[in-house]
Amino acid sequence: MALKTQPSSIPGGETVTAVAPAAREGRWARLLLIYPVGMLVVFFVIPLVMMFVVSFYRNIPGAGWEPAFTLENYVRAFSRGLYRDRLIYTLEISALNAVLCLLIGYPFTYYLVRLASPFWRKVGLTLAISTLWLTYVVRSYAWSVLLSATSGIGQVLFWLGVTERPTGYAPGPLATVVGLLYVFLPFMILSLYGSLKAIDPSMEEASMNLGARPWRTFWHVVLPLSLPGAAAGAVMVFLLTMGNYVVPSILGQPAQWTMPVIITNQVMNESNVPFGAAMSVILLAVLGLLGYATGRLVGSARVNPYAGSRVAEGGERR
Amino acid sequence: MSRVDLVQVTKTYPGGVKAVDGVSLTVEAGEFLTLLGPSGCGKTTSLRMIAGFEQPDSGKVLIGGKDVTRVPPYERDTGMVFQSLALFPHMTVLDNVMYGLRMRRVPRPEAEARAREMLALVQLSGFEQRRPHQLSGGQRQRVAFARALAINPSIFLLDEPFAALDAKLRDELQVELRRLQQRLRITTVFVTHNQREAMTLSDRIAVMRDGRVEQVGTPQEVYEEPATVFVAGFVGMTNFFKGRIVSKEGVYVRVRTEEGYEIVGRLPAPNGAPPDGLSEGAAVTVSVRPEALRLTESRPENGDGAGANPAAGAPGIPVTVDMIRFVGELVEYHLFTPSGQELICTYQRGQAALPLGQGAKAVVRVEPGEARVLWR
Repeated sequence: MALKTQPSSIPGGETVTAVAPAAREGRWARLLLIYPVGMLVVFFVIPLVMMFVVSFYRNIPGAGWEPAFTLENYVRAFSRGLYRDRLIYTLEISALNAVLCLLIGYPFTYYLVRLASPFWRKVGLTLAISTLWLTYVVRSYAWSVLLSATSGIGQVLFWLGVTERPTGYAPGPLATVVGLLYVFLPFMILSLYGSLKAIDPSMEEASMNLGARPWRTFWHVVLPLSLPGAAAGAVMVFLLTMGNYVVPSILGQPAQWTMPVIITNQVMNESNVPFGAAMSVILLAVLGLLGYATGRLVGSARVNPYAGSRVAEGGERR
Repeated sequence: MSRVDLVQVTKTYPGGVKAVDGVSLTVEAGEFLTLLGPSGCGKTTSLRMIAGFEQPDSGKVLIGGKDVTRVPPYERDTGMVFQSLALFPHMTVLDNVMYGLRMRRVPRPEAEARAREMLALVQLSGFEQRRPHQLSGGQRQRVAFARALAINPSIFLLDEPFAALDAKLRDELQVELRRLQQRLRITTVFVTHNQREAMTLSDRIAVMRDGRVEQVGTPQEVYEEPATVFVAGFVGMTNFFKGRIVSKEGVYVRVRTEEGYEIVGRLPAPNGAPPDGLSEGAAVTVSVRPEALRLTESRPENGDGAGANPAAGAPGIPVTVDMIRFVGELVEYHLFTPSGQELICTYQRGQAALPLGQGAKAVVRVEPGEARVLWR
């Protein structure tokens, strides 16, 4: 008896101390939640709600805006061909950028992953993502210099005799595409790297052992297994490109301006905050829809090598 | 079914490590040969050279008498089971097993029929539409067998396929593998570092060390007639006595151990003639298997002396019993000689009727004809 009661030294208080910690823990957990929830509310929910509300306000040219409930901003955004075209253009260039990043990033990452030396693999990966250490602005201006008529590539091509006179490419469509590709390629590489690195090298050997040449091995084994990473990378690049303001505004002419540039222009230059807000809501809605759709597509993909192998390892030990 | 020859094969990895160093080895048609050795001995590299994943720096690889040294893996006609199994996680079991046939452009109905046949052979009918991660460890193992064998390869290669399995499942699959191999009569090369596995599965074992083959022989030969000290120590348990030759009569050699006891041993059977220098006074190592050491009670009249026991006709070594372990069918005695060398002696369960407890004094003797005298 003495031994039994010893651990809870005070027999009377036993029931209280047994229940209270759990309840207190729950209370603490809820208290701790205040911080992240508060952050979300202050920095995300309130601004979003404000933007949504302001998008229904009425703009007073030259005198700011007044609270109201009007759909005129939305009507304007959808009825004017200009803004609809900008939205479509934004979608197009984002898709183009995602595809280009995939086409250029995939072979690079594939060979990077297959480097035998871990040291050079790390060097390669670090170099590939090192451009992220600089802000978009600096990188965009660097490209605008490189692609200008007076210095860089235009001069080199002239000197080589490819062009008759030094040509400038920035600002312009080529500069915009190159800039976006350059800025978002590291995200694609990072996404693919994890996916390709997780493929057991003996998968490829097994395929070759079974009679598949390297190209067929790639097509039947490596590609399907890396699909989730490729899809995630493409979605990420697409969404980031859609939201990017710096690159098209520095490297593009008005014809290359994407929605973020148009919105900024409305708010900063035209002082039409309600219309900017309305277009932001539209952009956000499109992004949200696409994000949701692709998320479902990737999530439901039957290709999921990692989950499989985890379960497999667990099963083996049983 | 064809034979495999490795002819003076050498492979050096960047950094100068010789993974395989002049290996010559023949796997007869239909034979089950195991490459056995510790990690880094070159067994896996040798296997990968047969499969074509590694190119030897020098030497030749022949399959069915044909030089395939420069033939890429996808044209070699070997079926390999990988250590990680490497089943394709994005394909069903059926697609996995069909893969090799489809790559050989076998029409789908035919390939599917063959794959189902293979799955039936490994008792996995009904699992065709599962994915690898939905199977147990043993089932996945059998899918890997079926996939490698579905293409009807001329050589079956296995790279430590059981390393990740628990002992019981490993035993079951070993039996299954051996049955499969004998039914198909397929030339098989198996790589393992597990000497028990090698002994129970193989027709012949090639014991490797530091990129070289130390000995090739049947499991019994390798166990009973080890050619080198390394083989004796790596295959099965053994007791070593270092000493010098006192006298020699044909293959029988009398050795005085460093502790001063005399053991009569035999030079191992055919594996190479001993060097000429192996005469009186030469340093040798005597290997005695634990079951060849017999314990008797230490008689009072022997005392702590040299342990000579005229009644038994052979000198014994006085020991102290340090520990007794019951290992299922065996009883294992751990003994210490006066100078502190540990000896291990085993009896079949039920045959160790000696009333010896921990700390008891006893005398061990070597069963006549069981000691092997090794010179390298």
